Amino acid sequence: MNPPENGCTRRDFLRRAASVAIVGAGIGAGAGNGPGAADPPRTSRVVLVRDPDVLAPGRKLRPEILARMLDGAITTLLGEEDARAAWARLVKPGDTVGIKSNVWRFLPTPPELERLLRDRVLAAGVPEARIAVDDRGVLESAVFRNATALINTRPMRTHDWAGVGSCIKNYIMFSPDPPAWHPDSCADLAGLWDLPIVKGKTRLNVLVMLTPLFHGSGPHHYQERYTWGYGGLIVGTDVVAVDATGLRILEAKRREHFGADQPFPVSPKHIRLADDRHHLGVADPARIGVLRVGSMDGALI
Amino acid sequence: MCAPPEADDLMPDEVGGWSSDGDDGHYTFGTLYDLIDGGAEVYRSFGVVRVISRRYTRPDAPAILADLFDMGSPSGAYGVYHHDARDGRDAGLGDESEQAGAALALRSDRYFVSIVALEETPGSVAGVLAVARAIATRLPAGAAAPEVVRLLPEQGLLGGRVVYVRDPAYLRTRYEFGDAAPPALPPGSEAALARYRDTAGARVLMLVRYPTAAQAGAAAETFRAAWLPRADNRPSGGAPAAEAATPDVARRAGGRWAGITTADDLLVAVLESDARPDMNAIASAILRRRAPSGAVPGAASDPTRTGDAP
Repeated sequence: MNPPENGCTRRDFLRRAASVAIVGAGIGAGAGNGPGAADPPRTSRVVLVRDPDVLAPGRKLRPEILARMLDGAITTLLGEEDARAAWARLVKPGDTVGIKSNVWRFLPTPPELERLLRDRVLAAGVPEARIAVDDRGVLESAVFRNATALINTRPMRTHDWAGVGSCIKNYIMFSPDPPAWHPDSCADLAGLWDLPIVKGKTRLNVLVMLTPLFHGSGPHHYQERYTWGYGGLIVGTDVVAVDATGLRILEAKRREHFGADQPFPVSPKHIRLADDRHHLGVADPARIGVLRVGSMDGALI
Repeated sequence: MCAPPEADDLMPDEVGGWSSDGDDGHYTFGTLYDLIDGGAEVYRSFGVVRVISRRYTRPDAPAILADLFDMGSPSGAYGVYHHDARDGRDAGLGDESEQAGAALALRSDRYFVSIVALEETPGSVAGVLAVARAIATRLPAGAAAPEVVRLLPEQGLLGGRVVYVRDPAYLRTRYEFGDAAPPALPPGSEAALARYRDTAGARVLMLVRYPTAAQAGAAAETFRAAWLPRADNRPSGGAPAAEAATPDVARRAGGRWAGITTADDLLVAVLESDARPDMNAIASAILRRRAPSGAVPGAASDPTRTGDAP
């Protein structure tokens, strides 16, 4: 097992988390997703949870293991002993919850994970009629338009125009004009998080690292050979820290695969700029505590 | 001018046991987002005209997706083909082709073709090649690289990493200019970005060809102010001559060298270099590749072999 980063073990974290003042729905852990949400010094933390057995032969998902991973991540992130209590801090029965998914045909958010997130929100007391899972239809969805809480989830992959597609970019469908965010390699995607339909609503980001795509070519930018069974999730309330951690893993995988430092053909600078320019969260790995749950063999970071 | 062949005529219905599922997708510049989630801008920046997307299936085998892009010009097809690094195995098809496992890309004349199997198996790898061969035999061929690419000096050139650019937004995705504005790319201009490595170290060279020499000069002046803010005529505080900044050459923040000059209608920029670039020598090497008639290596007398029509 790899050593904990930044001197932060799960025990340390639980002790520290116990003293964190939880605000509102309970997203006071680390840097928040918006200007002013973070108090100096701006640090953040995410949970990396892995279980190689989550992938059965043929890369079919084992839902019961996925559920265990997600619950382990949430309890660790929020310092709760049980998942129900953790979810109760993330969403309240009075919330209207949009689960922003991703339908990219080659590597979508797994339906098993969508169902799991919906089940956990239901179990927290949110009525079914006030929960929706969607991607392309978020602007037409009454639940998303009236959402008081968002859960953001999608797989990590390289991307032809933005460098990588991860949780920050996942909100582009909340824009009525997605191409307007394309200039300069999608440098200012973090601005999406200021859209009124989104701003201040995100309770959780789940970056799917089950079979990430670390390289792409061709118009669809997908080849199975550039995916691998990582068997992980990165979970956090700070979307920038979540993406920055996923990015480190992709960078490490590219080094491992290509045998030398192989920069992304398109710089995923929007993650760094989400911190430097938009102050959405923390992108600097030195200021991100990665709490590890489960097997870390082959974790790459 | 002959109308280009219908895309449907360029793709076989059946080959080697793989059959079209009969549900082709047809896309244009305006609807390409419906086919490509994430990279449509690349194809739009090179002027894609139309696309046909066909799915080939075979019992008990992963499906094969074949996408035929009519890019409207050989240079457009060259640009999208070289959007990806090309240092894989030559498949020997069309004007250029490469197969990597269950994915094959080729360009031929104004067409770009991408064929990929959803899973990589020995059968799907063979199927991808069979479909590609069948399409390639139906395509016109014989287009050279665009002129600005052919002008790149060969010594030290990492050939698989040449990028061709016609669109300013696309240029910004291919090189990180930071807060500096890249050179202007007005209509009628084209650029090539190339990486080099030789005994002098590594460097990145950018050529931009403008419609006129005056435009090249104006663009160089503007870009020089942005990219070489410290360049001047004075020796750098008693530094040795090899360290002296000149109007065309200086170290950038971070210590790497850069240089900018012009050669006829070309802006020549070493964006970064381990060693101090000799811009005069680089410009001369480029101009030597352009004969007085304007012909350059790789061009042929047959106008169909050149890049786009002037």
